[in-house]
Amino acid sequence: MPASVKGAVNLRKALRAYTPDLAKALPKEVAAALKPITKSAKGYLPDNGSVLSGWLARENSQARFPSYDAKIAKAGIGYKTTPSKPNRRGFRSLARVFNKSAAGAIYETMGRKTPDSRFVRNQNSKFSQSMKGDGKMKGRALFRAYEENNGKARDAVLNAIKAAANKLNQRSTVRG
Amino acid sequence: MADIIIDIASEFTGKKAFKQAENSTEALMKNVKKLAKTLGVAYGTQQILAFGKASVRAAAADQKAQQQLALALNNVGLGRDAASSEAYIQRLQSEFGIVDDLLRPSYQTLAVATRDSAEAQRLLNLSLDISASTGKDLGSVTAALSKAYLGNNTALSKLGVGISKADLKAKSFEDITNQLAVTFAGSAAAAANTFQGSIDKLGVASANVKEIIGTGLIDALKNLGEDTSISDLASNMEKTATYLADVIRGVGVLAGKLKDIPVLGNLNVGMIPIVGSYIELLRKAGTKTAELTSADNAHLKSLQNAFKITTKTVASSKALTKETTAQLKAKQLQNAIDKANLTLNKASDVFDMDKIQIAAALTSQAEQLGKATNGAQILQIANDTARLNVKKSILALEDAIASKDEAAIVAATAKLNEDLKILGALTNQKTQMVAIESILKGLKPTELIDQDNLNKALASLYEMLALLAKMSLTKLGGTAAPSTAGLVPATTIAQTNANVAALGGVVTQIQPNLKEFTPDTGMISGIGPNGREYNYSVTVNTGIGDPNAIAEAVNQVIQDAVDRGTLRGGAY
Repeated sequence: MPASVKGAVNLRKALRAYTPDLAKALPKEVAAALKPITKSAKGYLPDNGSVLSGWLARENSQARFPSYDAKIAKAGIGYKTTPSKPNRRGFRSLARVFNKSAAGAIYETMGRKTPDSRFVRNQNSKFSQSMKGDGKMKGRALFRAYEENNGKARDAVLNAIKAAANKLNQRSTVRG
Repeated sequence: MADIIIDIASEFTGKKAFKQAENSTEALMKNVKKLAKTLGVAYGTQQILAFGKASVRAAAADQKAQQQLALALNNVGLGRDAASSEAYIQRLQSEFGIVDDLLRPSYQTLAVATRDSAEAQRLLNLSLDISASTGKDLGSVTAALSKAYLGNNTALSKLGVGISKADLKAKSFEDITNQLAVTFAGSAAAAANTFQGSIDKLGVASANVKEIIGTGLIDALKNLGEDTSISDLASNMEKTATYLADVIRGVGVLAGKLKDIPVLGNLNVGMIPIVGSYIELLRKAGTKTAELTSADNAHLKSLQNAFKITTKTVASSKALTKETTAQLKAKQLQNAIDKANLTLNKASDVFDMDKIQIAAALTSQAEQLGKATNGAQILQIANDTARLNVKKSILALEDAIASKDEAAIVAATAKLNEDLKILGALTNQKTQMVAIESILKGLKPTELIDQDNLNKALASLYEMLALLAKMSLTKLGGTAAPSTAGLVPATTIAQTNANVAALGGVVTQIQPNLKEFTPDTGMISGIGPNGREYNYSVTVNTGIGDPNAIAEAVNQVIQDAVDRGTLRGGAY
């Protein structure tokens, strides 16, 4: 579950308006907290030689199932520090890490619902031990890295937002 | 495909669905209201709201009328009677069933005309009787009475109150009103006791109820002033109005039922179990709020008054300080002028304009001084001169006073005092020779050049020059100094040279071209066009004492210059 923060979007606006230096510094601090997760997650993705050959891209193949390419999968892992649009429940993400490539997502989550499928069984022979997390937060690359991060990134992000808010308040306080 | 995303931190900002739901609810409410209006469900609520609006309007108008009356009374010096007048009006309206909206303007008209509260109340009572008896409106009657009080009986005669024109002319206002009081005595009370009077009283009570409720609503609105949600406020007002309407209906039903119970007398809502206690609590809260509001207003008013008084005090003290400074300055000037006038008066006592004419006298006194043969004459001259001096000082002082120059006035006064002292001494025949001498000295003409002194000074100068010449000759050769007795003042260069040679000081000679030549040293000096002296030295390097060698050397130098072409004068 993400940590819920109140007023962070307005804080960013205020920082941009009144303290541009803090507005620039905050995303950098958040990024510094998120980078270890993405770095680890990229490391957990297998290279092309480690996956089953049938999942790799083949010439003249008309298969619609996404083939695995380590380069594309690793490029699909990243982070964002800008607020997102509100989701259906009205929440806006302030900082997030993602694994957006199709093959990377398959590697991440395969076997959650259909652990006995042929594809999963074939893959599990190689990667079954690498899945970590619980429920929807269970995975092999990004979720694993997040799980192993033990909430350090979340705390760092929250601390960065809090620190920026405090600095803004300090600067905006009129001294007699 | 669902994205693989981990939100580290997020913020709830609301969502579109909520906004849609809100809009839908608002639209639904509007439709329900329209439907309720159509079906007449909201009829009672509408009536209550209309009554509420009318109540607020009535309360505001009543408040305004009270303030206007208080202001009018204050302006005519009856401010202290404002409260008693208001109480008097309230009593009249409950007694005669006439609304205060009519009574206040009438009372105000009479109070302004009479400037006496007791007289205004007497005339208003009379007006009520006349109005009730004749059917004329109260405003017309009070206007006629107020005009009559001020001496214009025309309007009173037009009222048709049974007073002849002869009476109007002959009788005083007091007599006329006494007659009217007898004629229309008890009319207002009698009218109030009729059925119509009772209806009027109910009307007055109804109007008062409206005003009281309106005042309560205004206070309630003031208390709700911090509420920023107008829609909430309106909604709450409507709900409250509906609730009140139901309560009023309930009270009506309850009163009807209670009336049937013979042991109960007047209805006291507070005595109703449970509900009554709540209503009583509400009433108490409302009463307290009204008191607090009144107290707050009074406190605010007192603070405003205090601030106004302080501001006025500061302004007046500033003006006072300025005025005091100006007065002090004027007083100082006046003191100086007074002092001068005092001295002038003293001077005028001893000064005789007929005897002394300043301009002629000063010259004649000087002439007479030379002709004076004894001390008495000298004393007389001195006396007259002193008087002239006093006159001069007086004129100077008058000029100083006219110019309003304080320093000049003081100086002229001092001078006049001094002159007066001298004159006083002479007048008392205490002859002081020193003073006389000082006065007479002023009469002596002082020549710019004294020829005798100048001759003496020139003689001394000659002696000094001779002495100096003697001293220098003694130093050089020990011979006697040449005498200047035989010298002739030089007018030419030759004479100058001759004089210098005669004095033994020949060193150079001045040539006709104004160049000075020193034969011994070969130096040539002259006076340039700019007046400066200049000298030339010529050195010949050759054998000493051989003129031929010197001549040849000079010739060679000149020849070389000619050969070089540097001799501007050309070949010699």
